[in-house]
Amino acid sequence: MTGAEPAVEASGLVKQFGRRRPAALDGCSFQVGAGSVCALVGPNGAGKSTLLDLAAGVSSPTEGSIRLLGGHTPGEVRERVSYLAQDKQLYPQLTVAETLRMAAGLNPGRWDARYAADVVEQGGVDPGTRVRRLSGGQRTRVALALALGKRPDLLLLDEPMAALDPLARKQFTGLLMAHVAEHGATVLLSSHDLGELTDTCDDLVLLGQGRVRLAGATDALLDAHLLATGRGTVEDLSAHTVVDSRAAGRGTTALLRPAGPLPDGWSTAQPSLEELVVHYLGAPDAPPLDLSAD
Amino acid sequence: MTEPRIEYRIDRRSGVATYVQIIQQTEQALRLGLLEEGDQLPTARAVVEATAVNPNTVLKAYRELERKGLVEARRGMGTFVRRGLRTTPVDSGLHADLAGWVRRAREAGLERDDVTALFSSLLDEHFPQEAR
Amino acid sequence: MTTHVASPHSAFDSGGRPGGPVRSVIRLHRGGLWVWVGYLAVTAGVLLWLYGPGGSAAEQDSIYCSHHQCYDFGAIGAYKDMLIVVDVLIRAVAFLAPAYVAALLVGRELQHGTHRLAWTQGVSPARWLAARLAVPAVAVTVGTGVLVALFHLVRSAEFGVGNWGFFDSNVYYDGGLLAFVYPLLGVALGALAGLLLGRSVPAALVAVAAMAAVQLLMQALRFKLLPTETRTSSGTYDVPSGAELQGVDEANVHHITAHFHPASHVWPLQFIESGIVLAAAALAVAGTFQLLRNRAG
Repeated sequence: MTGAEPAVEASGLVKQFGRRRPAALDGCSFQVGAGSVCALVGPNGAGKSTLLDLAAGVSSPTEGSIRLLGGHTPGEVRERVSYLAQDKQLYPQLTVAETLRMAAGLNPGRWDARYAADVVEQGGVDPGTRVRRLSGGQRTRVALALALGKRPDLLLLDEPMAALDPLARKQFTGLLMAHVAEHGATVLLSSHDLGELTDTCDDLVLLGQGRVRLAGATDALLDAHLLATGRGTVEDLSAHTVVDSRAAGRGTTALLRPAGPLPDGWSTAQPSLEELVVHYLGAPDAPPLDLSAD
Repeated sequence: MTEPRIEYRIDRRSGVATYVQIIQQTEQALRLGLLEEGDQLPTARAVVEATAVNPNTVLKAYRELERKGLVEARRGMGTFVRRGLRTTPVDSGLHADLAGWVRRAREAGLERDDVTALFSSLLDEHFPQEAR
Repeated sequence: MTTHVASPHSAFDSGGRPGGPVRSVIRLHRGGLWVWVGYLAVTAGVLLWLYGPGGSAAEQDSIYCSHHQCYDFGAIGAYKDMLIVVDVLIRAVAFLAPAYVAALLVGRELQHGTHRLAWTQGVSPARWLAARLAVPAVAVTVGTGVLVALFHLVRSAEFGVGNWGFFDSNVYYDGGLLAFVYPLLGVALGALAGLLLGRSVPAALVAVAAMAAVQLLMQALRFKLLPTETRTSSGTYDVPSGAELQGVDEANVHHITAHFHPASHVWPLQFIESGIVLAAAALAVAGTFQLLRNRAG
C-alpha cells in the first residue's frame, strides 16, 4: 500500500451488540496506507458501518483495537478525522450557514470557512435555507462541506453518494479527489457501486460477516487472481486456490488464485475489480486474502 | 493563470485503463499541436476535480509521459511539455488526401466498419511494431 | 474580478467569533430556551399577581371574614388556588428538566445519529456532554432563582391568607434550596438516561420516573435527617411556634412527649437534603461521563 505509516490499522476488531446477536465485527484486521483511497465493500450487514463507527471513535470495540494516523486512538486525533455517516445527519433546525458556523466553532484553528462555503455554493445551495428543507443531494453537499472544511488527514465516508445523481456523483468524487491530491489525505469509503470505485480507489477491503475477506492494493489483488475457462471440471484446478466456480455448458468458469501454470486447455483472463468482488460475494466460504500488511 | 490547454475526458466503458487514456489524450493533443513545448499540463488537483479519478492515476500517467521524454516535472511549478509530437502540420496535404480518400470510400459504398478495417490493416502493414 | 469574489461569502461570515460547544447547544436549542423563558414569565406573572392585585383582594376578603363566618371566600379562594398553581409550576421544573435533557438534548441526538456528527468534530465528546449539562444547569438555576426570589416577595407581603411557616410543604420546597437542587439532579438524570437508552421517549420516561423515585424516597426521609427534639408536658402536647411536629408519645395523661423539629432545624435539614441530592447528581454526572468514555473513547 502507499505510504510508510498506516493511516488505519485494525487488529482483531470485534464488535458485539447484545449477547444473543452474532458479532457485527468478528476479528477484523487490515491496514490502509497513508495517502491511499481505500474502498470498503461488502454485502449489507457485513459490518461496514460498524467498522466506520469504530474508526470515527463514536463507538468502541468489544475486543481488538483500531489505530489511526500513525498509532493514535480515534479519540486522540478527532480534529484530524472527518466522518460522513450513512444518513448524512445534520441538525434540521439550523440553516446551512448556521451549520457551517457551528462547525467553525467546533473545529477551532483548523476550519477553512472559505473552502467550506465554496463547496456549498458550487452545489447551488442557498446558505439561508434550513437543513430540513434541503434535498438529499443538497444535504450530502453540506455534509461534504463539513467534512472537507476541517481539512482532514483521514476521511471516513459511509455510502457517501447514495442520494446523488450521476452529475452530482462526479462532482462529489471530484471534490474528494481534489482534497486527496492537495493534502495527501487518506480516504476510507464504503460503497456498493463497484464500477465507480475502479477509477477512484487504490486499495480495497472486502468485508463479509464481520471479517476481512480481501484486503490490499486493487492492482495486487487483481494480479493475484485469474478467471479461468476450460473444458474440464473444477477438480482439474485442485492445485490452485479456487475461489468460486460454476459449470458453463461443457466446461467450467472459475475465479482462482493460481499457484503455478494452469493445465492445458484452460484459457485465462484477468478479472475486473467488479468481477473479483462479485465472485467473492457469491462464495462466502472462500479463503480470505490479506495483502494489506506488506 | 492561463486556461488549461487540455481537458481530459475519461470513458469508463472503453476498457482502456484510465491512466492510459490520459497518456493517449495528451499524446493526441501533442500531435494535433494543441499542446506545444513549454505548455503546462493541468495540475493533478485540477484533473481529478474535473474527472473524479484518483490523483495517483493522474500522477502515474504524468510519470509515464515524463519517462517517454514528452513532459518534465519542475519542482513546485508543475508539469511542462518538453517537446511536441507534431511531426507534420495538420494542415499539410495529408489531411486533405485522407479526407478525399474517405469520401471516395463512402461513395464506393463502404460502411464505416469496412473503412476502419481497411485502414487498420494498412496501418498494421506499414507500422508492424505498433500493431497490438 | 476581485470585487465580486468576496461578496458571495458574506452570508457565511461569522464575524470572527468562534463558537464552541456551548454556543452550539444554545444555537440548537433556542426553541427550548424560549419555551423556558415563557414558562418563567407565566410563573413570574402568577407570583406578581399574588403579590399585587390578587393579594390585595384576598386581604380585603380576609378582613371581612374575620368579622363574618366564611371560608376561602371569593378572592381568598382564588389566592389559595394560585398559590397551588405556583407550587405545581415550581415543582414541575424538577420533572421537565430531566425530560427535556433526556429526550431532546441527548436522546434525540443518539436516536437520529447526529452524535456521529457532534462527536467527530475537533472538540471531544466529553465537551459535547459538558455543554449539554452546563447550559440547562445554568438555565434552570437562573430561572429558579428568579422564581424563588419572587416567592419570598409574596411570602413577605403576608396578606393574612395561606400558610407561610417555613415547614409548610410549599414554602419548604418553593422557598428553599430544594427548588434549586432537584432540577439540577434532573439535568444529570436526564443526561444519564439519554445516553444510556439512546432514544428520546424511553429516556425521558425513565429520567422522570427516576426523579419521582428520588423525590418519594427523600420525602420519606426528609425529617429523619436530623434527630428530633422532645418536649414533655402534662394534659396536652406542646411544641414551640414554627416547629414541625413529628410524633407524640402518650405514656399517660400527665406524661405526653412531643417529638418535633424546631424552626432552627429548617436550614440544617435543607442543607443535608440538598447535599444528598447534589451528591446523587454528581454521581449521575460521573456515571454519564464514564459511559461516554466507554462508548466514544
